[in-house]
Parts: sequence; C-alpha cells; structure tokens
Amino acid sequence: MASPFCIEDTLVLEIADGWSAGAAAGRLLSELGARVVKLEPPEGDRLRHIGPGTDGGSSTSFRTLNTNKESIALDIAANTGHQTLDALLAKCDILLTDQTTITDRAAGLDPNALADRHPHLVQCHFSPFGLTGPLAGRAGGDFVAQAMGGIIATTGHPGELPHKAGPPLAVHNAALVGGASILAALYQRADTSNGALIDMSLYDGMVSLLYTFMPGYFISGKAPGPQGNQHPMAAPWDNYPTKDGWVIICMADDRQWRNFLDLIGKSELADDPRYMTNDERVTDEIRPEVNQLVIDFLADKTTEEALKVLTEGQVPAGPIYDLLELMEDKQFQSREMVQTLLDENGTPYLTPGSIFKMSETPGQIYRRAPGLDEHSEIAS
Amino acid sequence: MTAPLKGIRVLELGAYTTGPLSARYLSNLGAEVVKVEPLKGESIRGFAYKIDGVSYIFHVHNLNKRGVAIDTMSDRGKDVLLELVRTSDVLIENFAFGRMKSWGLSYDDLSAINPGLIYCSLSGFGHDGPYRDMRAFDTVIQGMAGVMSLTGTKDYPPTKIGVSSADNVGAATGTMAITAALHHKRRTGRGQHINISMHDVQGWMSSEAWAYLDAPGGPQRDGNHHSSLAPQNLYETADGMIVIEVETQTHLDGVTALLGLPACALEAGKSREAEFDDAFSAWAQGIATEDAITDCDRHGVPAGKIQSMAEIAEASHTWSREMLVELEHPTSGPLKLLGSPFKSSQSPGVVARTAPAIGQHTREVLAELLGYDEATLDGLAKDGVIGIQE
Repeated sequence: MASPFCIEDTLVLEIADGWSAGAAAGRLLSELGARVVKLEPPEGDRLRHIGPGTDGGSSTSFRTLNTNKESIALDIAANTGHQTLDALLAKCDILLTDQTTITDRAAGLDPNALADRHPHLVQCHFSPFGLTGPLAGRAGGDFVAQAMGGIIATTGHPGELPHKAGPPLAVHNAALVGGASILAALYQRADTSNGALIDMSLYDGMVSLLYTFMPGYFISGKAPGPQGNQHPMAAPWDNYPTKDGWVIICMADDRQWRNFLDLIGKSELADDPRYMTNDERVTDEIRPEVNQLVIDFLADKTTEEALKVLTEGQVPAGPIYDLLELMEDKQFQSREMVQTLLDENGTPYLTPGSIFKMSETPGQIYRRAPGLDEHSEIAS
Repeated sequence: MTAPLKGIRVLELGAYTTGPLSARYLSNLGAEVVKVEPLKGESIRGFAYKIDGVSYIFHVHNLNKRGVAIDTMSDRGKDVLLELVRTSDVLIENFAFGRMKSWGLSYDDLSAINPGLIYCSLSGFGHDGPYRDMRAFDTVIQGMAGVMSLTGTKDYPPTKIGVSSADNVGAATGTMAITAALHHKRRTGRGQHINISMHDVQGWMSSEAWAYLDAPGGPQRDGNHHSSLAPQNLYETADGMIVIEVETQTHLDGVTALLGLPACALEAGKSREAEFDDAFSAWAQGIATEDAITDCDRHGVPAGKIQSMAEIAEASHTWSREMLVELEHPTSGPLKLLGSPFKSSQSPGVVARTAPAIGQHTREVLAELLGYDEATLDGLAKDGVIGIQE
C-alpha cells in the first residue's frame, strides 16, 4: 500500500516560471501531497525553451523541476484570463507567485489586491528583496540575491574575483523557508479560517546564512572576503592535495584536532599552547602551520588511502565528487535521490527524489512533468 | 496577530548549527523551544569570537529559546528528559547517527512514551544507507554532493560556497518537514521520524545542472556564468563589481537596448555570451557601480553589487526588513542578531529574547512543564543532575 501524504486535499496554483523559488516551492509542496497546478502563459513557461532537451518539446530542466505538477495555459493579462484566474483562486488553498513572472506577464496581479479578494488564500510571493523596504520592487533572481546577500563576496579564492555558489542557492533556500512559512500559515488557517500573505525575499534568506561571518565582523570589524575552502572559526579546514587528487578535511573542534595529532604521531603537540584551541589555530600566523602538518601527512597517500586512515582516526574528511560521481554515489542512490521518469514522448529523464524522508508520510515522486496545458480541464 | 506555530512545543537536543538553527526557525514561526544542554553547555559555546566567554555564534543561533541544563547521561537526568519528551510535540536532534540510540533516546524509544512525537534527525548522510556512520561537516558535504564541483573556475580546485550551505539549507529542510508533519499529526494524532540528510539536500540543490549530465565530462563549473542563460556574469566597474542577471526576454531586450546591440532571442543568448561579456566589460569599466545599477534599472535589467558583510550590516534594507535586529542581553549588553525570514500578514516573525545562559531556565521550565517544586529542583541541582543558573 502506498504511504499517505502529510497534507491532503490541498490545491496549489503556481504562477512562477523559470528555475525560480516559486517553482521550486511548488515542487516541494507536491512531494508532501499538495495538488500543484502550474499556470503557464500560452507559449509555455520560459524554462521549457532553454537548455538541453528542447527538441523534445520541453527542456530537461523544465521536466526535472516540474515533475509531480499539472499544467494549464492561460493568458492572465487578458480580461477573460483575469476572470478565469479569480474563479480558480476561489477553489485554491495556496497561491505561489514569483515577482519576475508577474512583472513580465500581468502588471495588474498585485499580491495585496489578491489577498483582499481571496482572504482564505495562503499566498506566498517570492521576490528578490521583498514587498517592503528601500529595495522592494528591484529586479533580480538567484544571482542578484547571492550578490547583494553576501554569498558571492565570500565565495572564491583570496585575491581573485569572487564567484557565485554554482547551484542556485538563493532559490532553493527561499523555496524551503517559504515552504515552511506556507505550511505554518495553512496550519493556523485550520483554526482561524484566515489566509495569509507571505512576503518571502531571497535577500532575507541569504542574510539568514551570514551567521558564519557575523561574529568576526561584529567583534573585530573585519568584513570577510573570499574564503577559499577554509572556515573562519575552525582549522585545519580546507581541501588538501593527495598523490592523485584532493580530500576535504574539517576539524571542527579540539577533540578532532587531537585525533589528528594522534594519527600523525605528534600527540605531544596537543599540549602546545600555540595550537591548543581553534581560537589559536584560526589566526593568520598559526593557520598555515597547522595546514602544513596536514599537507605533509598526505604527501605520500592517494585520496582513497587518505580517506581510509582519516576516517578510522575519527577526523572528518571526504572526497570531492563531480555530478557524474554523485549520480553513481551509493549513498545518494540508497536514499533514492536519483529517480528516472518517462516524459510524454516516452523518453527517460532524471529528477531528484524527495528530500523529505519521513517514516509515516515520506515525500513522493508520482507524476511526470506535464505537457503544456495538459490539464486544461482544471480551468474550465 | 498570533504567530502560526504558537502552542507547539519543541525540544532541542543538539549542538553546533543544523539542529539549533532548525529549532530557531520554528521559534521565529511562534513555536516554544526548550534547548536541552549538558551541564557544561553545548560545544559551539566554545567557538572563536566570544563575548564574556560565550561564542557570538551561539547567541545568533539560540535566540528565542529557553535553556535547560540536564546531565542526561545520568539515570535521574534521563528521567527528567523523558518527562520533557512526554510534554513535547517536536524533538530536534543533530547528533551523529547512533548516538541517540546508544543513550536509549532513539525514535523507537521515545515514540513508545509519546506516540504523537515528531522526531526530526538532521545528519550528514541520514540514518540509513552505507555512509550513515560517517562523520561530516559542511565542507565535506558540499564536496561529496557535487556542489563544489559546480562552484568556482577551472583555474582552481572545486570551491566551497563561502557560507555553510549544507548546514543552513539542511536546517531549513528540517523546518519545512516538521511544519508538514504537524498537519499529519493534527489529522491522525501520530508523530513520526523525519530523517533529513544534508547530503541529499545539497545534491538536490545541484539538480538544475542535471540537464547537462550527457554533455562531455558532465556539468562543469564556469565561474559566474549560467549554464544556459546569458548574459549572466560579474563585471568590474570603475569602483567595484556588479553582477548582471538575464532570466527573461524582457531582461535581454533591456540588455541589447542598453549596450546598443542587435536584438536577441532569449534562447540564443548563450551562443552570444562572449559578445555580451565583452560589451558589458567595456561598458562597466567606465562607470561607477551605483550609476551602473541605476542604468540597468532604467532598462529593466536585473543587476546588483557584490555586498560584503559590512555593507549588508549597514544597508537600510537589511534593517528595514528586520533581518538584523539588536537585542539587549541581560549581562553582555546590546547584541546584533539575525531576525526572522518568515514575513507574513499574520505575523512578522517572532524575535523575543536573547539566547539563554547555561541552565538559565532550568528552574522555570521544570516547574512550569513538569510541576517540580523548589525542594525537588534544589535536590536535583545539589546532586549534579540538573544545572541551575542562579
């Protein structure tokens, strides 16, 4: 028997194109049991037309992100479109909107006006900077939010131009924070019958991640630059060369440092006041010294040998995988994080499994991504 | 306005970041969080950058919570903890796999005494599968989930995201899963075990790039470029750096108008990436960052500057959104802390009190929730079972 879902009888309308937070949140809610209807413009979501796979009708990225959803096509800028939309919203529990999509498609679709007309709705409006504050209304997506939100300034290598997080960190983070906010509001609605307008800003989500740098900044006044692969409050912590590649080593506390010293046969250094705690080891003077101990230890080892001895010695370490290796990774596979579905042409494509592993109501993948307007009956 | 999770009681047993952060998010949504610490306090109190002997980051992660100190390794301490479990809706823990079980505190142990308990485990690789016993920290997870392979340039080894992406996004995943499980609990009266893996979550974040798995060598890191959209890049201005982000045809029309280039279909943008990069680089180097952003705004082109921690801490937008807040700590004075990202017409997000000292609320919580009288509390404290900050 199939597992039950966390949320039942919940209808979601998603007006969010591209690889956006709104579309990612729609996917997450669908895994938990919501019926998610994606409202697309007559020509289809812009993501359908970008990147590999477009010759099959929709890009692979579109299918990956929009698995589990249904699709209707509607020109919401047209008068009749507005009426159809209002009729749909009267039936919906949740509305997901994304600023870029709304500005592009229908300037009249104002979250506050929608809240007035549909007070039962839990709506979540995703935008780069939120509905309030000096930057409200400014354009942007994942990249701009990463730039303004302090992620890019700290990613990359010292002395070089900084880099974004490769994956769309701002989008995925906002989808989860917004998703929690939506489910909390829906929980409250059962008691109050009142919906809510949730104002989810990608910038707010990024600022929430800056806790790593707040202590150094607010105590020493030093704004951090690109971090390389080090940690501002713990050392040794970096990628280190082996005979045939790299390993990541993260010694978060003094116990792990002592484990490492035991491993390299220098237990006596554990009592050396210059190295004793993270407070000393992270300083500009000492950090290179402790890093050198790691480099020397690894010089005659392959990555595989290094990982074996470090793991046995209780020193946190791991390899660096590319995505081809991730797809083959036995843990990722064991957790059913790679799923293969057939698209409407019968061609297989990949999509991630649900990150919600739950004993009673696990997140589920149950429906291939929709063709454009494949579920038009919903709007009629 | 009432916060949405008012009345939900959360017990936090954890250390460092993922568990405490997930619990703090729930507190921002209105849940009542009781943080259980060992008598010497949890490990992150000892991290670098301290105020009065306590790490600043502890204050950031643990605002809103009440703190209870219990020696849960002792039989009597464990009994106190189990009584707290009986009164809680949610338990969050982020110990290494197997630790909770070794203490008799596994999901099976605790659901036996509280079948309605939502028990959320946050760990590096999850509580099943071949790597469940591996110790893992943020950068290890980023490395093994392919995130680093997508970050940075080919001139350098794979690069981590500067912030602790695995910790933070893992915490948010736990929070969303818990809010979902509350719906199921209300319907059925039953709790469940939530088994979040930071590695799953980082791997999920890489899924935009899965479309390129069939490309030669698989998906590659390419600095600030986007895999299928252009122009998206970072450019040096006369006095700093900006990013340009084209996502829609409207944005791209703005770019071609701004740069005086022939119009381009969004799908064709990537094939003209070098041309756009050259034109933007030339344009940007002769203009100040603020003016560049104004120009982009006028043309409907998304743009932003590379804000540092310092600029964000000074930005009026940050304070206007209450993403940084200043709270008065009873002994350490005013502290700048993180606000709530959960902004709703029903509730602006709860930011109520500074993080607890070790055992600050032991007396209050055990009296209020378990009905312990003064003599019992004093006895437990005297025997070293609980810690009370007087």
